Amino acid sequence: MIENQEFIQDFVEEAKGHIESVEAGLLKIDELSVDLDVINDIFRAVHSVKGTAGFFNLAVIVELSHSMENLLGELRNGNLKVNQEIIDLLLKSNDCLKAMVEDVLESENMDITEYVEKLAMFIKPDKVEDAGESEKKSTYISNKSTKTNAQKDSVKEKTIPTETTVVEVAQEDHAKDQSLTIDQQDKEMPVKNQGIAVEDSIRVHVTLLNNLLNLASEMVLGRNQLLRTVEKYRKDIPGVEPILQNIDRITTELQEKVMQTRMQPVANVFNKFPRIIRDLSKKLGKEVELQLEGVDVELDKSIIEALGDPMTHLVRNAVDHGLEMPKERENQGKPRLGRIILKAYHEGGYVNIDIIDDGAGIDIEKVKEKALEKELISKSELSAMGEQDVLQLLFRPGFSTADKITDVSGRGVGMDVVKTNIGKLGGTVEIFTSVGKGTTFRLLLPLTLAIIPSLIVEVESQKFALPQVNLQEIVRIKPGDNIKKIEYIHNSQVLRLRGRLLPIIHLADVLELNRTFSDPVTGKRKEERRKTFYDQRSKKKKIHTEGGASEILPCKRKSETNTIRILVLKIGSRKFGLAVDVIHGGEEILVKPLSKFVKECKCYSGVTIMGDGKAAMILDPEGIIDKAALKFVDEQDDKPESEMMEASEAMKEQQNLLLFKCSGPETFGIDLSMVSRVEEISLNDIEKIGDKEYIKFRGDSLRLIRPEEYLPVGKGDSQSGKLYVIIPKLVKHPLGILIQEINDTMEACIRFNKDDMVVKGLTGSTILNNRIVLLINVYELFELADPAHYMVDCTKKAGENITILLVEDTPFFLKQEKSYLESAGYNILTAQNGKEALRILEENCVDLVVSDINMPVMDGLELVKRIRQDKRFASLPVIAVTSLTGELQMKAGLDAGFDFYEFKLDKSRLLEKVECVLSKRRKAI
Amino acid sequence: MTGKVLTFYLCRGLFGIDITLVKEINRNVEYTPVPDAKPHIVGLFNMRGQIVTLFNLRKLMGYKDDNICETSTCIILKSSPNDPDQVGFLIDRTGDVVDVNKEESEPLPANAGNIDEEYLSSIVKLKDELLMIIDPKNIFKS
Repeated sequence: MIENQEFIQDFVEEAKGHIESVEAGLLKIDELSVDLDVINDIFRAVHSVKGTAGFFNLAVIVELSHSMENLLGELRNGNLKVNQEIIDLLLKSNDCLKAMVEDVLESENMDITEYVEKLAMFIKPDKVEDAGESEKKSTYISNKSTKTNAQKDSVKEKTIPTETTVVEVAQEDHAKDQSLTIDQQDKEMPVKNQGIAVEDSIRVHVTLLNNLLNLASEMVLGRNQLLRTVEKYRKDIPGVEPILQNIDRITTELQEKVMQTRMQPVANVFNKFPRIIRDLSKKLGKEVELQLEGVDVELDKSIIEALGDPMTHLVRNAVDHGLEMPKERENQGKPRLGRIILKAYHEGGYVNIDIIDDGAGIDIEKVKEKALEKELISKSELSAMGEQDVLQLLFRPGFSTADKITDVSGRGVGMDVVKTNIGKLGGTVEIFTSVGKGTTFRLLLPLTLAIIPSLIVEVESQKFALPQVNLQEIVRIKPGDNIKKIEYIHNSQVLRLRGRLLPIIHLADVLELNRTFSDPVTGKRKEERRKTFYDQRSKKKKIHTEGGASEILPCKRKSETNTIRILVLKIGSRKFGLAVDVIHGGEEILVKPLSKFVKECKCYSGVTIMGDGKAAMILDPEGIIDKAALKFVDEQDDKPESEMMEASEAMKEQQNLLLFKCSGPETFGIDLSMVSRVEEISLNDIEKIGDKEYIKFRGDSLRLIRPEEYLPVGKGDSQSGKLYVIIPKLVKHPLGILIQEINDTMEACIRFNKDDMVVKGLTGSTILNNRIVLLINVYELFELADPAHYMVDCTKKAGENITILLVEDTPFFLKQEKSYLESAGYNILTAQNGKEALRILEENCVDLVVSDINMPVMDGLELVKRIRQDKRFASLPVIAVTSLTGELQMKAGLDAGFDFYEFKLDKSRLLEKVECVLSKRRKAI
Repeated sequence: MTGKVLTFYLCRGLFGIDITLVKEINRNVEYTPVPDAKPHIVGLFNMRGQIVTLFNLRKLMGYKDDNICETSTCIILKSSPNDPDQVGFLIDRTGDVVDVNKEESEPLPANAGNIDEEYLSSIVKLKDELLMIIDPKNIFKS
């Protein structure tokens, strides 16, 4: 019979925590051999379970935990050596304990003799008896917590022998307590035991947290209303201002904190993997090491919970399919021990979780074969697919590349489930793989599930929230614009958008709202009878109506409703335009599920509460397509060239420019990627040595140059005391560029003016904000200023007949790199993207390729992969020159097949690398 | 039907509901209509962070009452744990809370129409009028 039933739930919660820590501890022993602290921790956790179970009279749990405790005690005393068998047994026993705790009411009926016997077997025969004796004692301990003070005296004597464990516990953590009498310890014991095992936190029910969250949101709304209402009287009531500000601030903070309470570290998911990996590696006969990184990264509780299954699946896959057998690994020159890394980190407002293995990698060709074999895709489709697209095939239902099906994985179910599960959380899955080196699955997850960025739009005075994920762009159409206008196919409206027809539907029509317009005279809303935007009603009306006033009306109306706002939405390959009346701007909204009464409306995916406290429906673009019965033809055909061109325009790397002025009137620009920092100095800081100027910078002297002295530009007097020095990045012998004032930094696509001046020191000129900006070529400028250090070794030219293919989409960099390479005497061919580069490679004899990575149409990674795949180019050296300076990207680049990975844009290094690659090649030949 | 009953007026008729089913009465609610939903759904409103679906009981019970006065008083029902959706319905105005004992309550008379049969659970004979007790379980089941 279970006693004290009312507290049993607390026991279950607490015991679960202990059991988890036991498991974690046991696995730690696994890796680190024997660490006494760890064993002590486990011992204490098991002991706590036993203690509380005794309080509830759960004899079976007590018995098992007691047996475990005995064995652990032996381990702790050093009477027994830790070995795998013992750990296994303890883990299994712990599992059994867990099962019992989870179904605590049935725990009394569990058969645990097997475990108890096995556990006892490890303890020397003479100790077993001893253990039996201490079992009796332990029941006293458990009883003890229930005894009242009055009984204490009688209990005291009996408990003395068992107190040894207790005293030990106390000694370890509270050395001062040694002086306490046993009597006092007796009282404190249960409390202390908890204090050791339980962390600095308390358990709170999730519903309570959710309620708190709701209340906090309400509080925010309440505050908003309060502030709005009191606004008028703020000045009239003395002292109210600071109070309001205080409430304002505290409310915001409160809401933030409450939101935080739902955040949990990913450790909660990660922690179950050591065990899974351990079991799996035994089962499959593989040797696996698991590495966890970023376990502190926090995610919303609901996401953490939903992550478990997909991640387990990916990890199992990684061990089963990814990692090779130890022998195989050794043959390939890899360490026997396979490695799985789980890594969580923040990136761009998302949390990424990488599941990395250093196994065999995914064979793209095999994936293609399988896809064709299973008829998931046609040949023509396949040929048009890039590597990423092919890998995404893995997520198609019914796809498995495993040669044989094991009971661990490979049945072709699962990967699609992973994808959908992650998709449900608003995340995506990416795959990176290289054959022989391993695979990385990357899960990109939003921080919280419930909050999504959305656009608030309005039709017929009703507001709706549109999730921004599907939103591609917003098009405004003004009347009288001949290029952008709505055209008609019968009654359907279409818009020419980049050479293609975009179907347009009005949100009000989809939702079957009566379209109205506001009468310009009365201001009342009247029913809209025009079916289309530019229905020529005005003309008809003139015929039918009499009286001047009404004749003017239509014109007025036209001017009122003229601008049409169209949201271009894209779902997969389907694209359509949704016309709305008003766009209110973006808002982060809290998604609440639809009640079952409105579920059948296809157009909504949820409901939210907006800043003003009103509910608003969240639109579902997919549903809208359904509702509006839009039929899309399969859009597998290639995009027309014109769209491609525009896309490439749009994708062109934006450059960050620092605009500044020297003493003359000209505006100069320098690419920010070349600027290390800008220092403010005063005229007095400049010291002169000969005719050269220097400043002290970071304990060193830095030579300053004035661009106007080397360039054909105007000069003025530098009178003002404040000056700036631009310190460039990635140069060998730094020189500071002395400038007069900083104008701006701006992001721009640079198009060079056609009739560019050819001046050494300048890359060219461009027009930004209606000003001519001269772009400085830092290297050439330095060459002019400091020929000794910067003169390029002209002897190298030596008439080498070497052709370099330069692939770069940004004209600025293209020009610069070209000039660098040309100055060293190489012949240069240029291409704007990977596709173009491949074409040039086909037609010309090229010795070396220098390529950017971020490019439209085909990027550098894809380009180098294609080059490597082609036997003719197998030994063609390829250097990446890019502004992607991340280590991961660098690794990805090198993995893809680049010989070198260089950052933009260091002239001497670039030339050095080119020379190095070429000489290597010469030797090889 | 016995016990306390909350009465309210709707379409000039007097209706009642078991008061233990009622969570609260709200006045001046600002609800958001849901275009494209069923006609008997008036809209959704935000009750302290929870979304309540508001029903039009008149339409639901098939009254063709066109001169709807623009009311925004509503009764919100308690939600059960296994059905967490909050529901409420618009009424014209609230009446009193009355105690109903066994003798006063009577099942529906034989000539009550189909609709009534579905939505009404019993009739209470008050002193000078009849009180129709609605059965929310049936009303909001679909």
